Amino acid sequence: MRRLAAGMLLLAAPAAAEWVFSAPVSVGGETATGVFAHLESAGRRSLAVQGDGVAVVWEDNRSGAPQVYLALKPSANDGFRPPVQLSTGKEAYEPAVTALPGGFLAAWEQDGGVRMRVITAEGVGPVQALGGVRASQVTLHHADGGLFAAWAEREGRFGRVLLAQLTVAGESVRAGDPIPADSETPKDHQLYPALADADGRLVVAWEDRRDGHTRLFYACSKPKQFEFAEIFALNERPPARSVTFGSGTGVTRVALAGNGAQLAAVWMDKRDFQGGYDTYAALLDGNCRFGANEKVQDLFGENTPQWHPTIAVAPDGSTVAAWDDPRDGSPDIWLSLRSEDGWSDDLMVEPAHGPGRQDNPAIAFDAEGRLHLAWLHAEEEQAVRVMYAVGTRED
Amino acid sequence: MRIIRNLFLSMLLLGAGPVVADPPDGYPFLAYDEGLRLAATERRPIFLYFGRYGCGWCDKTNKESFSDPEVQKRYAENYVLIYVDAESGDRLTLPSGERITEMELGARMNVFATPVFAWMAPDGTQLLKVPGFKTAEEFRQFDDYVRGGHYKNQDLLDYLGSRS
Repeated sequence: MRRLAAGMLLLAAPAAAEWVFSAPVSVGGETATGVFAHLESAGRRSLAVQGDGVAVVWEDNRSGAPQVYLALKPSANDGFRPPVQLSTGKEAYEPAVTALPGGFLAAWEQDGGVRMRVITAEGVGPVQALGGVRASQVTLHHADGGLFAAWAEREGRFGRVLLAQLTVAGESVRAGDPIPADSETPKDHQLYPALADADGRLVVAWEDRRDGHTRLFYACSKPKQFEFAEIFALNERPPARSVTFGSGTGVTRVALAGNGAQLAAVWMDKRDFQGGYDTYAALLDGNCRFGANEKVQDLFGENTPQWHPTIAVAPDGSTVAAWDDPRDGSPDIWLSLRSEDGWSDDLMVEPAHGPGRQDNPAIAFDAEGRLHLAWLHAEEEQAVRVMYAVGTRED
Repeated sequence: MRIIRNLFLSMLLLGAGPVVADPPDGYPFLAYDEGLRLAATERRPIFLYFGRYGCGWCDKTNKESFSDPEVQKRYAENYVLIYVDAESGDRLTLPSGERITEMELGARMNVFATPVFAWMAPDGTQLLKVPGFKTAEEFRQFDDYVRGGHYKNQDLLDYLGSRS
């Protein structure tokens, strides 16, 4: 079935054959059975590219408790250096990373708060706090317009999405005063923010439960200004409430990516509820508004649920979505490329396909248009490993 | 009375009432970790309810099936009840020791719709998983299938066929 589907896919999808990936390498060093790695963060920012250097962050329990690690690949010709533990508390989760001039910044949840740390080729800076004592689900974004963090912080009963502009000096990072994504006091939880920018206009999107179900909202700043005046709905709602959908269709875990003027969102969406979550996307227009929602995966993924979607935009505006789904019996990584004609047929990623579980992709383009991919690989009775490969589009 | 009931159901279908889909009232649902610990300690089977915030079919199940007094008695007395929000980032610990979010548990169990119901042995081993709205009568049949040990030598469809 898998070969048949793959063969049909190749026949049906010439675009899929344009990507060639390197052999996969293990990122996190040797780990033992019983060590469980997780590539998970708000906005799925587990991988960042700086020049031809790559940083991957993840959480695993190799020390006996969940802690956050970073592995650095200094250049295209180097392998990954041994991982560095970034977290210092009892437990740490959901790290995000972004590129800085000359290094990287990582942030994560640690013992109920958010912590961050600068990483350079020379070493790591001090651990610094971000936000209040009940903060989590942090994501990071760095662009010409500045360096930003967004996270969810408990205010009373509900989580609220807050943002701060960050300033890096050497190996130290400082946060400005936080501002809310939505100036209205939360009526229910705001969760899992994602950040990106389009020509200096910062866009934040998040999950929001104010209407008795999960919706996705976003806000857009004015160019080079760190303030948000209005919020907008990202996912389209069903025409009316029904027993099928309840209050809403079920949407969750939004991710954003941008490059220049191009910015795209991707998320899990259960509007076609019979096949579980699907990967949906929307593109931002010149007025900083998202357009129509678009189903990303092709017909071969129609009857299986899609999980962990993420997105990346290349310097030439090429937009790629990645996710995992078990259409071939176990989870594998799939890609789709957005063109003027819509989303391509799905691309099987050769090194992230086959026996075992390949899931939780994180992707980023470099300046040359190469697509860097990290994911989790697990087989029974073995440790869960963080893997990496880089893809080149061969036109 | 029937007119009122039909009117009430119609209002539900049109969504006039609130649809929250938390666990049903009158059932002592626990978080995953606490439930697994209790099940292991008391050697009781587990009934796992995968819901979603705002899920219409969950709400319908709560109101039409879990409101049945016999279903409530059977499940509250004989199972450790666990509720998982399929979109939640709250963390739980699997029997293997792995810490994951409630949503990730849904991905691992390939929960493609809500509600999904799973019956598990006291050690967390899955015995039966069924998706979608189920009637009170079906919940009674599932309980008979699991607690009667029929899952050991019959699949569910064969068992239900043998009862009819």
